[in-house]
Amino acid sequence: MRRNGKQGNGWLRLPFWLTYVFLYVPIAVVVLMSFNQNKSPYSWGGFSLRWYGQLLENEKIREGLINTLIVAFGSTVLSTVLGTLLAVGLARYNKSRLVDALSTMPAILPDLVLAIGLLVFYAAVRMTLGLHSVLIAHTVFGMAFVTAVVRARLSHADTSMEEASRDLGATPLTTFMRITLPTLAPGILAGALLAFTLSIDEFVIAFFTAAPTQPTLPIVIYSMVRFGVTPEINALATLLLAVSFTVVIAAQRMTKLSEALS
Amino acid sequence: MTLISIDGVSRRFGEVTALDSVSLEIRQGEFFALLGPSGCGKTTLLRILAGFEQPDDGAVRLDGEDLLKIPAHRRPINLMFQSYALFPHMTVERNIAYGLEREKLPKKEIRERVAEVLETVGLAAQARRKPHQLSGGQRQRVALARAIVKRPRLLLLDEPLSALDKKVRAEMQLELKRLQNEVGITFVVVTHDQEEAMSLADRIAVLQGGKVEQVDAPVELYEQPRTPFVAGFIGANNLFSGKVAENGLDVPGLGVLPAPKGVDGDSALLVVRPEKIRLAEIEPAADEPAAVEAGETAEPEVKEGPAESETKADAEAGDEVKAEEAAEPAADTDAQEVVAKEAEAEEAEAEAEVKEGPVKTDEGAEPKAPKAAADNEAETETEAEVTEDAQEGPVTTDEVAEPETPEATEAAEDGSETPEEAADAKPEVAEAREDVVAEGTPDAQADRGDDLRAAVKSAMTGEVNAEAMAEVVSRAVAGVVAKVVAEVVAEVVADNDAKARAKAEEPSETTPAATPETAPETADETAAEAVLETASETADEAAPESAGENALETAPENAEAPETPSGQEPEAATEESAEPEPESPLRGTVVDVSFYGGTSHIVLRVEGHEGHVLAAAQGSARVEVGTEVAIGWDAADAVLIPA
Repeated sequence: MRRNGKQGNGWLRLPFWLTYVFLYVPIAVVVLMSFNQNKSPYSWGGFSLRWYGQLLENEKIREGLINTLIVAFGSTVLSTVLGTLLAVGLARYNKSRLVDALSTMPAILPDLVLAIGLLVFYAAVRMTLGLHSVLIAHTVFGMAFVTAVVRARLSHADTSMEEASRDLGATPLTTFMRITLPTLAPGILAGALLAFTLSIDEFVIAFFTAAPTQPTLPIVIYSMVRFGVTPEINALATLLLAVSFTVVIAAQRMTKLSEALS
Repeated sequence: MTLISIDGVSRRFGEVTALDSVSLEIRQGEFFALLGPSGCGKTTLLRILAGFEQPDDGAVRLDGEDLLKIPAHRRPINLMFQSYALFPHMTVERNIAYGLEREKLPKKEIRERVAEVLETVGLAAQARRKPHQLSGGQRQRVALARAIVKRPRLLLLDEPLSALDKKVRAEMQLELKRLQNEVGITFVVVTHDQEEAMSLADRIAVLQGGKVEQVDAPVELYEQPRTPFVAGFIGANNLFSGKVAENGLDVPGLGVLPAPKGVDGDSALLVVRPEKIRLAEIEPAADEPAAVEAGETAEPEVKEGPAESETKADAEAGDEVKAEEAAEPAADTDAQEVVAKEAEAEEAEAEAEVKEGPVKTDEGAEPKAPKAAADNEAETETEAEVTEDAQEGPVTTDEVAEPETPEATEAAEDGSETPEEAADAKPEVAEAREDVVAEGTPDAQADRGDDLRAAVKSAMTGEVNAEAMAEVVSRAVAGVVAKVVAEVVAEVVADNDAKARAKAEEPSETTPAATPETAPETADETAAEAVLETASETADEAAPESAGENALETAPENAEAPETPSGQEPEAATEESAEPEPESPLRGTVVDVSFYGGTSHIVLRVEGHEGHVLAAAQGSARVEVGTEVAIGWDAADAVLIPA
């Protein structure tokens, strides 16, 4: 493959790299600027961690971060459990394609639609808005992602393993706990990480379903940015980027590992 | 003892009927195979036994208890999956311990049993590895260990060898058999691979389209297919369909082919194994006749059975076969006359027995050679009269004294000295046979025959001289003894007439013990014991063989003696002697000759026959592509399946 790329079609490498530049230059700028001594984004005043320091002192941001982490962890746990169960249930007992497709719908739906829908629903059941409402909202779409990932893993998992477990005398519950879950673990973990990263920087749904007194981090950032992008925001973006990156790479590793195992 | 009884089990998946009222009995301790093409329902049946599938209809009982009510995880049945289904996140040890842990056994016992079974399958060194670190063969052993460690009543194996490469497969085949022996668990293996089934199983059920076609031991399945499907599915076969006629099967476009008796006018399928087919070149100037039918080329009309003797010898004598083949033409001509007499006198019983050994085959085939025998007919008749009085007498006499079955012969001869030597004698005889073949012209043999007479007689009356007997044996093989024996028989018969009659009242037996009982006059006791000895030594071959001798056309006997080729066609043999067979009218052209597995495979094109006719010959058949040949077989070697 690599050799083919070098022979003959070398000029195709240009658009390939241009695409990468287009994708990552803006991000690179943000990261770079977060270390800029100068406040102005137009001049480089030398390397500094000053904005990171300011960031930590910013009360609003700290609050937002805490809110976000609560929502992210809570929704991740919920969506992982529910999503896994849904995936297993779909794989084992469902023959309808429609039901299958509906399970991952929230992941594909426009956030806006989901957000409005949830808001209307909360209003209908007279639920107060707060972190809990954001958490539930994030669980809805997080679950869809977990289901999709676990389901994919299940579809090429060997069901004979579970039969083997039953054959060897294990009850269905033991089989699920000792065989099904461990074999699905990498998929479940990948799904959980995905749900977590998505929840951390989710804006639209949180914006609609959060109480004004308890904004999540993206909402805080949004309100700050309205008065101009400060280097503090750059620093925050860089931190978020680092977290997401780590998680994504970790998730990738997990899946690779699991593939090697099966 | 029946372990599992499956009674009228049906299972449908929507439109598809996977199992259609299947009934089977699986016996305690046997190695049973469910064989069939993919989609025949075998896997469904297996899953019903394991408890992963419920039948729509029917009952499955284990030791008389309803198995269907018990959920999969409580059945004393374990399944080895085709994919092995090892738990990837557990070590070998943990995989094997899993089933025992579910039984809540004490930790110590679990550890001991796991260690023990790891030892049994030879994986003690890999105990702490994960499945993905093992080779295919090792994984299979783990799967097997995991299943047998539970000590189930029944072990199910789903295509156990299909995922292994050829070499490992052969090894595992042996391993499986050994294990089955060792642990004494009833095995049921599901496979689409007939070789696998034939080599592993004691009994095989052939399934097709959700129905059981035939349940039999491998040999019966091969030799006596009962349905057209089995005939076509197990091994290569030549199939002809037609109507049963008076002396064969009338196949449109081909004429009347030799076939066993059937109901006149019924349509039926005639099945002939390639190795039962005899070929003879049609041009008289044929310079290189196929090895198979060297005999025929000389005397095309004579229907003696080298091909047949070949197959039998093949099974019994292995390498000696070739020497045997060569011997036939020479020996035949000589032996013919004699045997014709004998055969007539002795009747069916002797016939059937005659078919067992290579030497015998020659003789037994004689009556099928009416022309050659015609000259002797007059004589024969007188002989026959003499013997008729004491029919049973001489028959049994011959059984012991005649060098017909190789084993019996050697045993009898050597037995006069030391029974222990009986077994060792075989190779010698084989060599002797070759020698005779090499030098022996019919004339030379005839000369020696005179000297032999005394020796043979003494053998029959019990005053045996060991050296003389060794001679007898070696010549016997070439057919000389046959002649001598025939004459001596008449003499001895006269002496033994009275005694024989007394003995004749005894019912014919199916055990080797029959020999001493029925023939004390002719062979001395030691000889008789020797027969027994050989029988027990080579239990597999000898016992059923002698069973075949006396049992004749009793099919049940065959079922119990799966490994012997001898018990195969006794009934056909009887028929044969009753009336000479018409010759097959088939003529064909050699289209292809290939050699593999020590066998020559000859493909023939026959005018008017759809598809090809296959013939097989041990060793190299020197036959050229394009040669015109006459294709024949003994009616006794063919199987007729009523349509």
